[in-house]
Amino acid sequence: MSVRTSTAEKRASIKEIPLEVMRMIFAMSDKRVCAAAALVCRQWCSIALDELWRSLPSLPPLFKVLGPLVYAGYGQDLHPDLAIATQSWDAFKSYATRVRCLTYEDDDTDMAISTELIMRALVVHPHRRILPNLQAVVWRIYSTRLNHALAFCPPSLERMSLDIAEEYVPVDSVKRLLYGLSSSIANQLKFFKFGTSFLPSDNAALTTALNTFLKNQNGLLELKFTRYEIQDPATISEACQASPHLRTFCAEVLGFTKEMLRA
Amino acid sequence: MSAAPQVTLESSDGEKFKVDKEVAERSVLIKNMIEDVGESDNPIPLPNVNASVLKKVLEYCEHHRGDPLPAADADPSNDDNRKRATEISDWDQKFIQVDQEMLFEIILAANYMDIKPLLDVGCKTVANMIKGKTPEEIRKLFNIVNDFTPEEEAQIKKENEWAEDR
Repeated sequence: MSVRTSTAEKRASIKEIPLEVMRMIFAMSDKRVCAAAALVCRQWCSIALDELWRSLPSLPPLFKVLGPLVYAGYGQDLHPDLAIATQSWDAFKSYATRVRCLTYEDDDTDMAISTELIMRALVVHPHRRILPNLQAVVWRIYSTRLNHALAFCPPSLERMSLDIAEEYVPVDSVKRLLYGLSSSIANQLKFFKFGTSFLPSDNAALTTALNTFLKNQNGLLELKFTRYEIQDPATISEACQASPHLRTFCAEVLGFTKEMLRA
Repeated sequence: MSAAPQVTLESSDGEKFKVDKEVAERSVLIKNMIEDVGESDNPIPLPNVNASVLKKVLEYCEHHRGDPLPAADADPSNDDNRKRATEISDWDQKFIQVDQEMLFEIILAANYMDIKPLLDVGCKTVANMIKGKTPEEIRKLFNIVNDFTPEEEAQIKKENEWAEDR
């Protein structure tokens, strides 16, 4: 008996591995492994879920925490099936705070979360941001739900990539989004990528909105325009001067370079 | 030619190891201790590491003595810096083929002595061990007791099953 005790004392087991080291192990693992690890024991659960939810590949997994979502048919959005219990909102919040990186791709083949449900999610969040710790977002939009992005992005957002399908999104929505972002994520953004190509006739108003937005982003390090034809280089140039740390500028416009901007 | 400077390390069970300073300084803990107290003939005590583990750790440090030091604190929130699956060099692979208890002892020692590359090798090894296993298989592998109620387990499973097809 005493022999057994002394060996048991000597032998290390996984329970002695500090949680921050377990966190490193889960960080090296894929989502499937993290999901299995979360079910092993309570101690592992919380840190495995931190790693699993760190990057969210779409919004439905988060909203499905609230209960079954119903899809009423073509053109309809996802709604909760029943009244949502308080503990479901608690679970929702505990997952939402874990998300650091979101990819949201909204095309009509995928099911979108209804505006009503997003509004309700906003109400339960004290700072009116559904993902309060979000650092990076990739938002690809093929519909009018562009402004939903504002509900998810906290002021601390560092990277944003907007990809907008101009044939489905009215230019006014894009303008509203840019003005909304101007006031909500000022000064924290380091990377901004803007991909769309509106008709030149629509572009003047958009350039103004983009300009306002960029002027508020003093910390910008990288700015990329893909598919966006800059109609008024002087205005954008002026906006870029407001970002003293800007080190990369990229635009898919022939003959238009960073040097020309700085000149 | 003068001999390389050496230091003496003392394990928790009192065994002394004389090694080249360059080898011992793979451990950031020891490097800092030497910087703080200056060169001395007194052995450096490592009260958390026993002789068999320290011997193993020093074997690693000896093999990697010339490696460039890892960059100080890469930002862990940046996804680029998060090392994904799990490649281990041949020598490290062979080195870490030990029983489970020794593996955990090495991880604990690497963590305590602050030897980042060795800690990485240990973590990758554990990550490879749990890869592809069910929760029950993982519990069995590491002798972990399931402390969830069946309801809790079902709830967590349901909320996270989206990860299954990732």
